[in-house]
Amino acid sequence: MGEPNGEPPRGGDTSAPRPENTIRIESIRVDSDHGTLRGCDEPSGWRWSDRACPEPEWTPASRVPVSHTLGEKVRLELTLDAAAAPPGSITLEGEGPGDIQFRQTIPISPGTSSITLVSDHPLARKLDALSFDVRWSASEAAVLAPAVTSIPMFVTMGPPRSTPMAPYKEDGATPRRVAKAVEWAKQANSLDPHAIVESFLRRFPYYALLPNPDVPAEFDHPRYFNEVGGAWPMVDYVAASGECQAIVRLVRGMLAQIGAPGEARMLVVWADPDQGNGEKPLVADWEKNPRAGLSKTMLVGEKRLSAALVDGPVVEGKTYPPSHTRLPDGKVSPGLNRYEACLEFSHGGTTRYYCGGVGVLFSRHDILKVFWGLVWVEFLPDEGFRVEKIVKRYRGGEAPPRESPRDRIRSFFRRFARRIS
Amino acid sequence: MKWLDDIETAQSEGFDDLDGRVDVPGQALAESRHWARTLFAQGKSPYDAARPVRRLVHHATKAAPDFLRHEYDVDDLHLSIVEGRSFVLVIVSRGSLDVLALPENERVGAITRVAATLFHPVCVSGGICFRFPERIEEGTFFSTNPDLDPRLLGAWQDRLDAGIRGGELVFLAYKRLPWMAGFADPFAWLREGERIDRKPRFRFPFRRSGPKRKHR
Repeated sequence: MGEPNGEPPRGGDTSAPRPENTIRIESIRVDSDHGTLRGCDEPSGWRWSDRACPEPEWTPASRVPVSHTLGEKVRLELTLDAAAAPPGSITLEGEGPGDIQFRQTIPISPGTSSITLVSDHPLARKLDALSFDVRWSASEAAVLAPAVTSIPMFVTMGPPRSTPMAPYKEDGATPRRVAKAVEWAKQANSLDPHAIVESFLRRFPYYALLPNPDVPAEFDHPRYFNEVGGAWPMVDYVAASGECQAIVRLVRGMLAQIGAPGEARMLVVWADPDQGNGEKPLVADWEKNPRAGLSKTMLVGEKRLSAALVDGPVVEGKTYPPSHTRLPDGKVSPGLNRYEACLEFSHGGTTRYYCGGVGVLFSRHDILKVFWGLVWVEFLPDEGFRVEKIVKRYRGGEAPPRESPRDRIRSFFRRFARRIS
Repeated sequence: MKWLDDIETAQSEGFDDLDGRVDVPGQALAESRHWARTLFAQGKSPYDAARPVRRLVHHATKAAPDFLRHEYDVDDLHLSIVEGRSFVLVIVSRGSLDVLALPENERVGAITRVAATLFHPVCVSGGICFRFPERIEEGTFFSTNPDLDPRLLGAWQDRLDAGIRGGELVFLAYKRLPWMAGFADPFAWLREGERIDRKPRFRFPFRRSGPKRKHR
């Protein structure tokens, strides 16, 4: 196993010819790590493995990655071999990354012994993937070998999940997954889970709805229902994106890797002409009801009309080609939809909605504004449609005003009143 | 029935044998593979059949839309699958299964067995649950859920149609995109660069995240 940044392991061969007063570091165990990483023996794939990473984390022959909570002190257990050193006591010092320092006076006697060291200062309060390099020294003319030890360390908000609960096991921790989650979460420059989720979602400006030929078939793009890592391979094909549900699974998986709190789920949101004249957002949790959405028809004389949410301006009585047909002028015709799929993320009493390609939204009412309107249409034999009636317009083409603090307070009370009622 | 008529028009115009060539846009091919995995049981789809598959293509004309055709054998059945942008029509050749030659009381069982062999389970109970008419004869059509409008299905499993046409057993499955109402343009499927999901979106502004600046 190399360093988190991909560089080859360091601190491996600093053992100079052994003088009489050399104390050898036989192994280092990171006692304060989470101990939840699995699959250290499968460093290249995204699949989760149930094999725990071995301990101790450092020996002259191996370096095993660890995860550690940010803002906490590091506790190490060193096994020392002082076979050749004269009995007495020494002060052992270790200088780690940042403010991390170890210092302890220990008795030395011939043979192997274990000592526990606790860092003077905690790790910095930031997500990081670092090489936990410690430069060792000792007083009383003793020499520690090797002089430098290195352990790949992922600094996270809490313990990564050891036992996955997701059907495709995206939430189970492996070193490669934690490394990627930390890399992405660092971009948020914040420890606020909402900011972290938002930074994840910035990478996926669109939800993919159809398979992309650039993604190997084994990953089952855009659904990512596979046994080779579930939604995780999506991080290698970001441009191809994925279905909303796959991105929800990936976001959940990433949050589980960095021990971040919060709940992500996939919502489908639609409106119904017979409920509040199309103003009321109807919501379903896709994982509980994958068939949810607008499926309303009615007979008017001989005509069978279907309700649909249209994503572009239409005119009553006019006929349109099938949804999203490329027109001769290069534009795309209006499309008919059954729902809008959004990722809902809740944490700390705040909920945000991320709908494919439309940015971050603050309420379910806003989600309906993704559509131009709610219409009754008659489908034609060539799959085109005629708009029979516009039930509700959600926007006239202009952007809704940016939400001011006053709007947010109003929105809060409106939601509060709705909940009470 | 318009789709069946379209297929007949395409047949009369002629299909081109791909003969191993990949003369189909990558996007359409990826979609075809995707739906094959979605609809058909393991080892029964035109992309993972054990025996060779002959592929043909019909590029859209004014009279008939784009089609892909796959011809291959599954178990003892010879299949011809005609795939449009929004549906898959499976034709079981009469030579390999002549439903009308069976005694009337065995026809339902034979159709159910073929459907269960070819497709992923359709009904929640795990079996194909067609609502069969009293008699199965030439021109009979039936469905698992005839009351649902194919243009508004939440998933393809919600409705599978079948029937006897020209003496052959046919199945019709809808390639439903659950977010969409209606179907996409069947004449533009095999057009280079065509993607139904590249739809124009109204974009809300992204909120700036990160630590808030302190005002002094």
